Amino acid sequence: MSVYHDIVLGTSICALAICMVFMVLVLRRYLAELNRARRDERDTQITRNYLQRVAGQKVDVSTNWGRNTRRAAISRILPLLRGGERTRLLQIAELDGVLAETLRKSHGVYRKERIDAIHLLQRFGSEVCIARLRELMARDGNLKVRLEAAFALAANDALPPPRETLRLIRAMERQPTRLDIALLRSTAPLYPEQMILLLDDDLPDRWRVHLIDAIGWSGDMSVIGILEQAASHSNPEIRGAALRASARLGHPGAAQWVVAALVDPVISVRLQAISASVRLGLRSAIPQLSQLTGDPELWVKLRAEQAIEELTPTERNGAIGEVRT
Amino acid sequence: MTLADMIEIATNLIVWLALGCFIVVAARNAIALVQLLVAGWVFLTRVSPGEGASDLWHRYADLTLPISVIAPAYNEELSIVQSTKALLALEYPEHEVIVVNDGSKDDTLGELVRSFDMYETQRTQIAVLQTTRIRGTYRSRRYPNLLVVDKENGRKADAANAGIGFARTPLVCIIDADSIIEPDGLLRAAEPFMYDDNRLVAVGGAIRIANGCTIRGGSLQKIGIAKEMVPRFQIVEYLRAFLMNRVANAHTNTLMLISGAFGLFRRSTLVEMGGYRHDTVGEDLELVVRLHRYMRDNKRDYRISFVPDIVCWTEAPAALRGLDNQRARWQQGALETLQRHRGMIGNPRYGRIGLLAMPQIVLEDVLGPPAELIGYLVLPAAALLGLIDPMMAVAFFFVSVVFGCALSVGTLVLEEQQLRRTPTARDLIRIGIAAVVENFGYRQVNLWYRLSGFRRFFRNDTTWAAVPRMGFGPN
Amino acid sequence: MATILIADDDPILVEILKFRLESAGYTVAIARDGEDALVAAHGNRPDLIVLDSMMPVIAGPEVLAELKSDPDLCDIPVVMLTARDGEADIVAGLKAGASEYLTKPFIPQELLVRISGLLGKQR
Repeated sequence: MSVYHDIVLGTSICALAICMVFMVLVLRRYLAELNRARRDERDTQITRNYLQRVAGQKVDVSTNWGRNTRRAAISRILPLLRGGERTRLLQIAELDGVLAETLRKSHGVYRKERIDAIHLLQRFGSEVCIARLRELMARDGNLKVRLEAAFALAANDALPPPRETLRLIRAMERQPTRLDIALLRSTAPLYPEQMILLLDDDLPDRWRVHLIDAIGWSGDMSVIGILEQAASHSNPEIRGAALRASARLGHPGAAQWVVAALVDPVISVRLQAISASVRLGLRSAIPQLSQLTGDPELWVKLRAEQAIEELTPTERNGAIGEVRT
Repeated sequence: MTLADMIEIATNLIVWLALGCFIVVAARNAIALVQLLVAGWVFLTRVSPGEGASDLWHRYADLTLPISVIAPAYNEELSIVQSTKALLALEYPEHEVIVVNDGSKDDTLGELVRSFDMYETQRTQIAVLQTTRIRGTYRSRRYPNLLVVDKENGRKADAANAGIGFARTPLVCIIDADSIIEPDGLLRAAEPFMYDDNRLVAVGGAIRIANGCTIRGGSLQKIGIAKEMVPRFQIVEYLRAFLMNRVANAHTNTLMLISGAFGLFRRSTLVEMGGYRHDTVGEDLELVVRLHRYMRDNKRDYRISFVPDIVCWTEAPAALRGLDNQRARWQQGALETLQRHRGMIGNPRYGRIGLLAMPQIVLEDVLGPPAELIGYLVLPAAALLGLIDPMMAVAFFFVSVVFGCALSVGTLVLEEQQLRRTPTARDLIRIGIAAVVENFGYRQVNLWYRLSGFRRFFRNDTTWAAVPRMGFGPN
Repeated sequence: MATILIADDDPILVEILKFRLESAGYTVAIARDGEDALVAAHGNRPDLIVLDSMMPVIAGPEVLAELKSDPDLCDIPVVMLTARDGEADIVAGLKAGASEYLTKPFIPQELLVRISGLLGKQR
């Protein structure tokens, strides 16, 4: 036997194995297509069954469908419905124990398995789900799984307080990403006081910036004083975040320091001030903005021109500036 | 020198040539197998995009980085209005569409101006990257996020550069005029930027062939499979390129090509680098290679990412005529890029790019095609003359053709397991057949087309001689 | 009682609508794709149409355009019920003549109230 025999043999086995796997997949697809009508029919029946129960009608609840079959059907209903009907449907489904398998999988060995379970728990969003998601966020050994659980909780407005959240997602050891910012923003309306307390901590500035930004999303007007302080902070990024947050909050008192920031020595702060003026619809800032159209920095100049355009009402569209988010 | 000596030398030459071809082809396939396994691993452990993250993204839309979609257009008066409408309708929180009319000889500009109610404006160009003159810029009264740039004719690279210069958003998405972008293609491609800690500079995405699909109003209505074999072969090729090659390379941080049909880049980086080069036919490959070079020369921490989801559909040549030209052009582009950046090949200064990725391109695009073609001739001949073990010729056939079938079918397995965008089981079988048949004829014809890319390269350029010959070539 | 045509390719959504609308006493007709919907509208004129936007064969917006350009059918109120929630989509749908534009996920109660409102207006 030469090495060439081995090559021929090895190649043939490899090719044969791959072709077999392919044929299996084709068969799977073919069967799925054959069964599609039947599966649709079954899911439709399960849907009707649940809708009848939601409507309070008496129906035969003998379990001729397995829990997983029901779960599959229900996860097709969930993206379609919202409101009270959805909540009742979830409650009934949970009583039927359709989530048992998912909860078990959320303890799985593979990361992918746990994350897939998290996605399903998030869709259902019932108390049991939230409790399990909290547990995963707090205890899972894998950061990616904890983050994914955090996103799922955020989507259900159920994140733990900000200090806890930051600790669990190991925030201080990383550079913040855009999704971290989103997490902070979604805890802000739930725990505005804690957010403010957190600012007294010894935080790296790169995170303080995002805390200030998130406070703007708290919807709590009493934070305006904090933002005013931050607007004169020595770090330009924090000044910028304060402008963003004030604009988001939409507090008229912010106008004063937004206009003042239009002449900030740092370019990025001037740019933030310009967009804040647009967002707050500050027509009174137009004279200052006109001055900025002569700014030596090209970006400031361009944004100022654009801002004036957006703040100046035209016959056709009114002030677009106020619609922009 | 006696006749016997000459025969002796010729015999040795043939044996060594046969062995060389064998080794090159085997090495190429071994790399492909590793890539298939890596891609399989990536898909196995890949977490499908969660609703949690996308829900947050929806809620805080201002966190998504605004994108300028840059569409260079040349003589597209028949389709430009529809395709621009499709671009304006893409799902994304904030995007601007910049159509660059590259000196069209037809009424592309007029169609745009009439259909979108446009007027001339004086938009400031932030960076001048193009070499031709800008004739004017137009804005629409109806779509505030549409800009049309009218310029003198240049190449696609020049038109894209002009567009990049006008963009004001942090990200730019460069596409071909005939690319059909998936409705959520921008969202998908921008997703890596949400998890990014400011290192990411570019993202590529999977591209599929639109032949045989139903297209209406510039957007894809129904996925289909073309009746002709040539597009079907290309479906297999694209799957192999995107699901196997790019996925594996992106995983090992050595992605070297983002297709010109769809690529998402950080605007500031492109502007710093001066955008695309005008003097190569392979500007998309050259850009990414230069991007690696630029970032590493400047000691910057960077990442280039790839999303295996489909972002865009593109019309492929429906017959061999048309394909020949495309493949020759790709080959010439690869050679030009390698020549320009030859200093990176095997250079430890460029880390894994210099030591792994660049040599891989050399193997794939310089040594591979001629070695395989020559092998088809030399190995059987040598075996018949009794110069080599006949089993070696058989093994060559298995390594090139049978193994090729295995790889192609393997990528189909990845597709069906992960993306499942083939319409029906019947279509799956059709592509499966194409994946096997492709290795008997089409693949060899393709190699031949690539050789004419070599010819074009050598005709245009003589400095290639500065690089050591690799044992083949015109003489 | 009024007849309502549901044009949607998702059998689950159709089932939900059918259940709620029938419980509310409406007669329900079903079309699985855009072409079907147009045929059904011509054949047995409904009093109201609930239309999905992403459907096979003919997409929702085109069905809407077709309905509105047909003098016999243009006065049938159309409720768009779709997953496309972009500002541009909503504006385009309403401009094209949809009477209501609801996005999925939807509140069934809301849909019922809007439908009875539209049918009351028409009478």
